[in-house]
Amino acid sequence: MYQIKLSRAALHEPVRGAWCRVCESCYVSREGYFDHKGTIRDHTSDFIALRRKTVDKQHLETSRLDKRLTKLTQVLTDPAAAETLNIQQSTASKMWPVNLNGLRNQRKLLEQSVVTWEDDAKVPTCPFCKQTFTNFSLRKHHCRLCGRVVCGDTRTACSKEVGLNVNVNVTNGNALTEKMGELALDVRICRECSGILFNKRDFIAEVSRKPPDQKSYETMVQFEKGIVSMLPRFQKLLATLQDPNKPPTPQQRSEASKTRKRLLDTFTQYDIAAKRIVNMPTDSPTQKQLQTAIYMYSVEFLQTHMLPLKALPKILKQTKSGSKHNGHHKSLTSVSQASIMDDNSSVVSSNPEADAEEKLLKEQLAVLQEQKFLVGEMIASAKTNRKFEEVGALAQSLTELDKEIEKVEGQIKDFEKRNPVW
Amino acid sequence: MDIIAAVTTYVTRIITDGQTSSSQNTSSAGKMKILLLDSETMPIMSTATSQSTLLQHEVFLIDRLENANREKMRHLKCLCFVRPSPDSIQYLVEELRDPKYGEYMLYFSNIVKKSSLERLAEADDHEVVKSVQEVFADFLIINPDLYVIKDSVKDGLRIWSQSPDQWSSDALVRASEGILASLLSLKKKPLIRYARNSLMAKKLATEITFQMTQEGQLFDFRKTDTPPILLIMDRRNDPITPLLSQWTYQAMVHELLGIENGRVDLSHIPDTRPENQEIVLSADQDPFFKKNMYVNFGDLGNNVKEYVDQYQAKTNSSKNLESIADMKRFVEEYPEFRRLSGNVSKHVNLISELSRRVDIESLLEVSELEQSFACQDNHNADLKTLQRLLQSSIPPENKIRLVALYSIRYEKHPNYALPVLMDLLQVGGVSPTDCTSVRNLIGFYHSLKSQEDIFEASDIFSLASRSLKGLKGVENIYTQHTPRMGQTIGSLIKGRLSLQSYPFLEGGPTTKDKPQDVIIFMIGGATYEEARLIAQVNASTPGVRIVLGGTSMLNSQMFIKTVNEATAMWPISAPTTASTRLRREVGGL
Repeated sequence: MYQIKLSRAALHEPVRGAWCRVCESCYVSREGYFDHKGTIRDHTSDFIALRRKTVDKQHLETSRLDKRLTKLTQVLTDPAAAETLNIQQSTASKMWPVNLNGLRNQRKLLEQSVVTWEDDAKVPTCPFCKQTFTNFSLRKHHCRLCGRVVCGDTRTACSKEVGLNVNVNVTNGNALTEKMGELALDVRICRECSGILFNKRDFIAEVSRKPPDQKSYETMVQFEKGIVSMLPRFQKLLATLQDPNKPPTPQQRSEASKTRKRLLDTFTQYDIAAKRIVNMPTDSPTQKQLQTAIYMYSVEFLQTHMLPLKALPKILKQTKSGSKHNGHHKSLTSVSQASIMDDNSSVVSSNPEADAEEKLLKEQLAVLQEQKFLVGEMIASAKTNRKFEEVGALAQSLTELDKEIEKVEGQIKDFEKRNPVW
Repeated sequence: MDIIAAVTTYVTRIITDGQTSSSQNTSSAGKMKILLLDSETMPIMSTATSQSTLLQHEVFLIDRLENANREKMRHLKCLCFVRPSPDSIQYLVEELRDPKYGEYMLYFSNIVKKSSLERLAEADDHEVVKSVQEVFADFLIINPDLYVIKDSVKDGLRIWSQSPDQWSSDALVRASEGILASLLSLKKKPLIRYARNSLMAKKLATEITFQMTQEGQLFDFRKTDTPPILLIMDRRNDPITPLLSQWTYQAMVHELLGIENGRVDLSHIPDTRPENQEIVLSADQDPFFKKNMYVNFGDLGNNVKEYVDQYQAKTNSSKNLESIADMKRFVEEYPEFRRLSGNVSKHVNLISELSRRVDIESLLEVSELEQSFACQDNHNADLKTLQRLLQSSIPPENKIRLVALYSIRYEKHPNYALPVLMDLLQVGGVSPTDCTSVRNLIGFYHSLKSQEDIFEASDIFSLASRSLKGLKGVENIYTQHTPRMGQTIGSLIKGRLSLQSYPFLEGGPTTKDKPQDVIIFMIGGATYEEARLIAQVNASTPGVRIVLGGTSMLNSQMFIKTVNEATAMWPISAPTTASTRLRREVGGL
């Protein structure tokens, strides 16, 4: 017994209505009765808002270090800046004797002009790896971007000399830039700063880089899209061909055959693309797994979409028997029949009849060989799946196909004997 | 109220990364995807989808989130479907700090805490996360009207802790979250009724009500004519059903072979072909199973024979390939043919194994006695049959089941002869540890003060209904028993379920209307016999839709195991009579 709550106007009114008997269709057509979409809650915007805090802070940090780095490289490569600093130094250095390592000192001063260095004495251990500094084995270094004291241990990589190629500003004086062009500069940067500076950039660069498998996959998807968009059109063409009331016009047939040819070509290319992916050499098991999975998908795609295409010659044959063509071509596919009729008007051939027949036979041969290949593949897959009853049936059809192929090949040879190519 | 449909929509949403339209190919063309799961979502995903569906949506790799050895493949897009458990969140935070893939779509199977979201947002400094969503598929689907929280023999939920009235806290959280997710996926905000005699049921009801008020926004669904009902039951009110032999397809497979996450493991059975070692039983993808899952074993034999005939007809037609045209047709039909052939051999294999087990374990005889225990009142004859069976060569687990059934059934009978039977058990080659199972079962049953007698024979209402059945003709003697849930549901949908035994939560809203949508949850595990009952009620009662849930799916082995584990933690109740005390001292029961 179906009961729902109705208002006085006999409309569904779940809250204030009164219980009434209704029929089944009214019962189930209540809003939301067959709602199978479960609740979903989207936190994306919340998440992005929360993330903004971190990201903004980091962005600030990055741009700060970025500026410092630019300044540092400018100062170090720009002789003019060095000059001014030199002057300052020389004026200042009157107070104490000129250092022996004048040049190094100069650079140090330049570097310190960007960021103040932390006092060596205050730092007994490296802030990252906590190793105690010694005079010789573990020396103190300064990060040129944040000025902190860190160790230079290559194993812990607390700080590294980062090689930079600095483009020297052209306006700095022609003579100098032409000599240097691009200046190589090593800057010591601690782990934290280099992380802030480069991690994200590296990541973005890596994401946008396309490995070969991705490229091949995209090609494959392109072909797939082509096939998917072409198929409905082709099916429409076929439907008009199959219309029993209207015999198809030659144009329609030629168009169908052309589309079919293009489809088959695309299928072949698709197959090649998929095979290229699966055969890509790789050492990594995950990569291998990925490639195999893509190939499995492509095989399934081919099986579902290419097999209906096989039905085509049969359909075309049926439509042909309805049309008014000469008898001795009956066994041939009218796909190529259509193409002859196109050709007849333009191509001048001394023996169009024989030429066409040979062409037809060759096409038939191609179709047969394609089928043989397909059946062969199925046998292989049935064998790996240990479905032997199927193998039997398939093998039988394979031998039949072989016979057929032989027959057609024989016919073609006959033709060639009779009509030598000129 | 189709739980499979609900979960399938969720899964489709995940694998098409949130685009509802079918044109996934256009906007995200050529992006290969990897699916990351955790230990909880792995079975959820595997019961809800198939590999070929995944492939169709460009999901080419599947891996576990906790697998630290995953390779960096930054050109992949990562779909991540995990439970928002502390562990998974931690793994996810680590993953985001050093992302292995180019972009991430995060899907959580339940409500995710604000604090977890904050942690994730903080870790995501590469801005790889493109979307964060909650989809409420936090349970395992079995039938369109059946779900469980966990379906595993090895690490099922441990429900009880120190006492029979106390949830283990993990299990309580897991169960209530699972139920909440099921309510959200079905879009129901129910009124809750629970078995009054079970403190566990009450606790769970309170917990769910609390969570529903906490998440008021989520539970804001369209108004219904009458509120849906969530009925919480306790296994201890009906320990009989899981002990009985089963004779319908799905239930029988579970009883004899065990179904775990929709799969049956046949590897221990001799002469199984490699592709049949683990088979999938899914009503969703297997039409033969869908048609026959509730069919009696006898009819099943006929149906499978028809199925084989149908297959043979097809094979013959494919063998007579006389012309190219025939062959083409064959090639076109080939994929379907291959599917059919796989399915036929699967079911034939399964059914022949079932029938072998029925023979060697004399299940017909055992089952007849079980049904007599369950539905008749005939102590002396039953006892005689039982004694004879205990001396025969049936497997020990069946003997235990029979003795347990006897002891629960005839406990109050003047000629109650359990001690004798226990001796017989030990003589019959049942190990002493297994013998304690019987005592544990009785303890388990008594840990809940029973509301009414669980056996139909002494219930006048069911007696009356049985005599009515008698008029319609004799039912199959092996399937006379209907689970106790049957009566409860019957009165519930008539609006006559006693408020004494199944009250609404105190202080909350109530209703006297006949319910239209009902969700039943069985603490301690549901059975496939009950699942079949629900399916029958759904099919035969217009306007009523019921979904059954449970902490697990029981068969007799799993039930006895659960009981043994649970009672082992409980305090030993003081012996009430001198004779039991004496028996305990002596060592036997």
